Amino acid sequence: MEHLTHLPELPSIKSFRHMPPLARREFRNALVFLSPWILGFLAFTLLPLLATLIFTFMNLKLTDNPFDLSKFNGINNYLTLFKDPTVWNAKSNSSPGAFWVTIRYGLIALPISILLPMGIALLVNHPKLKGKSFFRSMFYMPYVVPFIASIFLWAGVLNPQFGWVNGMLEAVGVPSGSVPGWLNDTGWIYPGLVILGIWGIGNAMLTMLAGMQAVPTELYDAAKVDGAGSITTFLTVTFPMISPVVFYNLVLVIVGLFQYFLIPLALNGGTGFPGGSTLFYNLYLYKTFFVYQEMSYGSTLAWVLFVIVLIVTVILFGTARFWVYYAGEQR
Amino acid sequence: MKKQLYVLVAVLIAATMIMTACGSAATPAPTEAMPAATSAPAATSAPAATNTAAGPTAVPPTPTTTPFPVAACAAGKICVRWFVGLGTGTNAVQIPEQQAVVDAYNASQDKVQLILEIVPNANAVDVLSTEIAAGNAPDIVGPVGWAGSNAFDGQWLDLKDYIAKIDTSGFNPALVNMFITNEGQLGLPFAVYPSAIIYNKTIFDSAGYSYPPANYGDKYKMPDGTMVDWNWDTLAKVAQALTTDKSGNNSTATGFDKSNIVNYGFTWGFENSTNYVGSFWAGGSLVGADGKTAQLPDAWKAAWQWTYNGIWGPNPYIPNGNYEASLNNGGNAFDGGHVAMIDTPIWYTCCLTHVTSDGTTTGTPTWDIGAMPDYNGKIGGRIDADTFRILKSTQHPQEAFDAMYYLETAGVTQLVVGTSSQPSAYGAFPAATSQQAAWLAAEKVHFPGVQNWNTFIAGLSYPDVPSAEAAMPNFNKSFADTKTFYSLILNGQNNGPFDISAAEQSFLTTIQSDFNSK
Repeated sequence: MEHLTHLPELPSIKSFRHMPPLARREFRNALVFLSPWILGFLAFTLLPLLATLIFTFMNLKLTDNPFDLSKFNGINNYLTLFKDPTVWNAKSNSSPGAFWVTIRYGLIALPISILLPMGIALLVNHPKLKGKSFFRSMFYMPYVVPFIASIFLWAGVLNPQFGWVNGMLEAVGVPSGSVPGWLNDTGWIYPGLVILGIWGIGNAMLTMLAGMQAVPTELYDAAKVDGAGSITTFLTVTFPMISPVVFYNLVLVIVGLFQYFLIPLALNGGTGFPGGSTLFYNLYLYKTFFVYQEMSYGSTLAWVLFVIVLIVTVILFGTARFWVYYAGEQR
Repeated sequence: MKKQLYVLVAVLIAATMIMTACGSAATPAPTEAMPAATSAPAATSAPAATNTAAGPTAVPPTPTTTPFPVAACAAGKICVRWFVGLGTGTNAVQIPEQQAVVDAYNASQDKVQLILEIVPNANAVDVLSTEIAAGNAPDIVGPVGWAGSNAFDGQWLDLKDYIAKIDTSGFNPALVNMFITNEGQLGLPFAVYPSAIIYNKTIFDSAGYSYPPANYGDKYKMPDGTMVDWNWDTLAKVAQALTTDKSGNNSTATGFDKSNIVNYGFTWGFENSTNYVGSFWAGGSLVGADGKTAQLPDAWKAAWQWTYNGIWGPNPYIPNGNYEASLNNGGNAFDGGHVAMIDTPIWYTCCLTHVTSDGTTTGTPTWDIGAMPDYNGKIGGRIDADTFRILKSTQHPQEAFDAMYYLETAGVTQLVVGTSSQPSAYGAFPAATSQQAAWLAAEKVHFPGVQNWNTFIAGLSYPDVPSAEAAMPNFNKSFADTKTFYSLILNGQNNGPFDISAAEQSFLTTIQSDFNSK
């Protein structure tokens, strides 16, 4: 974070007055050029953000007048949320709550989303691999396919009756009555969604590969001289050196998991099929806002999600100093 | 000069960026052409919760490929906007038929112009909400069923005074009264969808079982010749006998292989809410008499238990969600030709295309219609009903009502009845008694070989009272939760059996929470 301290400081009004005319003109021009973004940020990000925060203390439907002060209802939306079974239900004989759906999926998806691209990056970075460019392109290529198209493609591939995956399982002797139901089956839905998500790991692989290629070769030479094996070299040289990239991907994946939305919406129209097991938190938020038209409660769900993600991210940053290594960093 | 040029260029770039940013973020204006694509019109009842849910519509869901153009309001005319999207009416083949009705109406008017707006079903609630919130609401909305209407509870105009001025003798009075709510008279009967059992004759014939009775009150003849009451227990026994595995064993036979079932005995098809399933047993409601306490009617619990047993019991006869969703005909299990019976409203005939002599859309139908079974001596039944409604916000209530009345009378021929050469746009049963014979004649032409159409008509005597889609507190959420609970019954816990009594208690808690948060 050291580099942040070297950012040029914005001039205060006082210093602006004492600027030389040329610097003053440059600063004014800079503001003019920045103004579209600033206006857009104020109008389309900051203002809606603050508006939704205010909505969380009201009882507004989508069709209500947001300036109707009689709609204020204190912290009722937060109280409702904290006992909403659609969010928190953890009983086994019923549809799982949206929060636990997100957590259950995340526990499976998170390690795979980090370890698999790291493993593939290691493979395509291996000095003895022939056709490196080909493999790198092949692993990255799915990332450029529009994700919505790949969702429908994978829905077909994972179709229990006619999909290729089950076709292959049956071909190797798995009885047709025992093949997984994948996306239609409450027991297989999360592995199915993870398989579907693996399609898009090309970007994570690429950043990790870039990190691995930036590791100085002298370190590997030194490790070899010291008699380190491949696992020791990975643990003591490669991983520490790429840990900032891993950290970066970890933050993105965790934030992405809490915002998981597109796949269940596209697959099942947001119905939560099968058995409510795909009613992810963010999907419930969307449905509350736009389908159930509960603007205030939807805003509350959004702000609580924001706080949860913020807390998790802060914790993650707190752990970073124990395992993330920045070259040149003073410890 | 040079400086001025720079300033001009900078201003232009800034303006372009702002306009681009605004343009991409804006909600589509209602008067712009809305793409009428993709949606499976949900009509009055929602489609099954499957990957490729087909909608209960007059026609199979065929995506439109081009945006539907919305006519401009001509100068000097009173413009009445007709919003289509909350129910059926958004399929590509339906739009021209609706536009033809609009054109015919406009040709008969010199002061009023009716404008058709098509919004894809998936976005219709959002778009209509936005239009209402923005003070730019349409005048007429429909066709729309109870569930679609409940999404806009409190927004509909009471039509009592307008209806008082017209002749309603052409409608069954019971159907007219069906639209009287605590908000007033909100509509006129337009299209109704009575229910019946539809059965696959081929499966019955190969098992040597009699078809379900065609007349209400008739008994069912078992293979040994005994005559028994046609109730849900009997239906379950027949369904078990018609559920067969790869080796031809039926569901009750020793050695029956549950993991290799070829034919099933029964399905609820697109009736994907616990309210629907329960109503086929007996009319009921999840709302107690005080209007805010959640309850589970006993008859509904019996219906859910029956369904649970059919899917997860020792002698199954209903396909689970995995099987329903993975069929190659879009999750339409009965139409796959491997399910013997389905209990459904008549809109399902839209989606009956493969239960034919050759398994294709061109073969002769090999299905027919039977009576619904009774529960404790009484038939539950279910009737969906579509109508048109007028929003309170309309600036031209009389003109809107006149146009709506036209759609429900003169427009019925094209929209509901159809002809021998042209199927109806909506595939419903006309509420107007004078149109019903013509409808029947048209259906017989489109489905040769299907005999018992009168069984469907007899189903009009068995409405669900109150409607399975009747208003509940926090309707959108609570009704969605009934579908989630049904999905749980259909899919099971980890694709297997679970404690349904405990699940019912959790469901009750969820529904009560929905009611409380209203």
